[in-house]
Amino acid sequence: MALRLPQHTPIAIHIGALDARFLQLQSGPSGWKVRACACYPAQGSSRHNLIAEQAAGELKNRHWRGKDAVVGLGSDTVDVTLVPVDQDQAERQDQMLEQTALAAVEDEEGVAYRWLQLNSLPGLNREELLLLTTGASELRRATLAVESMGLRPVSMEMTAFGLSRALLAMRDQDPAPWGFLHIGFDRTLFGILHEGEVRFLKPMQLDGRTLLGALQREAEQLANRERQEDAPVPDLLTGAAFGDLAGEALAPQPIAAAEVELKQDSLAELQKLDVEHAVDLLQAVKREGDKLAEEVRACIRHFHSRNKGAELGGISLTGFGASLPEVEAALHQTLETAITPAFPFTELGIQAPAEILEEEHLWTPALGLAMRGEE
Amino acid sequence: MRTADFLPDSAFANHLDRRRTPKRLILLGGAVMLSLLVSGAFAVEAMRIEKQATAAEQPDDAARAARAELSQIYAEMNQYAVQLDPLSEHLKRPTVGWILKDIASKVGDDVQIEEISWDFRFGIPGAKDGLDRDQAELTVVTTVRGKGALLELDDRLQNFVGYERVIPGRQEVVRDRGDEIRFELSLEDTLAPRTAMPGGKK
Repeated sequence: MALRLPQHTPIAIHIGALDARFLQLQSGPSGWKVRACACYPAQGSSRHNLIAEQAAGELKNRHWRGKDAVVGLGSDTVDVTLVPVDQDQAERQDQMLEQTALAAVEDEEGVAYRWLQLNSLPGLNREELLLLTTGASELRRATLAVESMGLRPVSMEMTAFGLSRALLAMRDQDPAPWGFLHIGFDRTLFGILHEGEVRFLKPMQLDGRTLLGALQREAEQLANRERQEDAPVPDLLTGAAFGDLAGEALAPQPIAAAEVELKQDSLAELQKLDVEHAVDLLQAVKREGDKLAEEVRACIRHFHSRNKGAELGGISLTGFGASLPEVEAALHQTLETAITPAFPFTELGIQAPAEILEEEHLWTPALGLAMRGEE
Repeated sequence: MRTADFLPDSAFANHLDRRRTPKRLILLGGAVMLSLLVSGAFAVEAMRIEKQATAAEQPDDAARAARAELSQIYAEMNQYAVQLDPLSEHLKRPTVGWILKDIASKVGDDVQIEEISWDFRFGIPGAKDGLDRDQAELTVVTTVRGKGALLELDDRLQNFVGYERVIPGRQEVVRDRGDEIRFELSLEDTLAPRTAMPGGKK
């Protein structure tokens, strides 16, 4: 982002599975910096109302500028489908896309879908389209929540696009394809960026909740093994039995996620445990990580075959799962490629407060949303 | 980067347009400011030139002192003007000294000059333009021996003196010298007209 006249970005609102993050940047003589930021914890289907209630009062007190809001829909609310369309089916393309969208999401108010062309395969006379579908009720709730805060929604795109925009800005000098693995609490996405565009995007079966469950189970076993009565096992999740989560590790999550909440200090507890039991935790994550890595490897092979053998330069790790202990190491061991947590604020030289710099991988989608229009 | 926006494209396009508005205003303001600065610079330069011209038109102390001194000199000169006018009139008259000096040698050996008279008449009105002209008249009385000298005398005198006209006068035989004739010639010349001076003819 080149320095231009003093200006501010629209207010980026990323509605994630666990929280909503508000971010606004402003340019100045020394470059871009964070003008204002806020994070409001909100989970479940009623999170839009919770966000609006928490944010409405505080928006006036903080240094927000303007009313335009760029909204990012969480990956758990948007279904991603890769639709191959043969040339002889081109006339039926719209019908195919509509049918696929209706099948992907169940919503009483209807569905909304958008599509992008990912790859054109002249040899196979086929095109690959990326179909993004969400429920009309989700759009309505998000729109109403934003409007009730006194803001004006001007864009509503999926997490992956905000994420991609920020990562592309980080790697605009590198022509090699670059992957990103966004491990959300309810949905994991793997995507590949190439030539300034999203060239591949697919939801993975394993999500942050499953990884957290594996870590919880390992922590429980550690506690039993050492019989430390005075050091209770950290209870990371509430609202659902841990055993249920561990058992459903491979089951794809529905769009309406289970009402399971994450305790705010859970990650800190895990980080503390990681200092003493890094190897044990690595082994626990590695079992799940291997399965995730296999999925990622299959996706890379797919991209490899569609793009004349283009080699992936590396993978950036974002989302809730990037902060889980030993996830990065487990994936690196399995995939044997460069896997680094995303630090977009640091790499792009955006001045940000400490609360953002501590969790850059979680603020990446919001940053990408704010950067829309600045590419 | 292409994206899939669930809101209509016009929403974000309107946002971009709103974002451009402050920039446009800043650019417009900058242009207006630049225009004001340029016009202000022109105004300042014009005022500077005007001031310079005004200052140039006003006499400085040295010029004023010189003009006063000149006026004083004119005033002093005017006291002597009455005395200077006749002198200048006199100096304008044609001189005859050079004629008297050489006329004897120019008329030839057979001619003797007996009498020369000189007359100068002021302000004779011109026939054509009405301007006053001064007139000089030289009258020479000679004794001429021989017919050839008599016939050439008028031409010789006119060539020598350079006057306009030669008017023959009386001719008589000299008593006791039968081969000599007393011959009187008048040579007249009209001088250049008097220039018109301010305040009328003089």
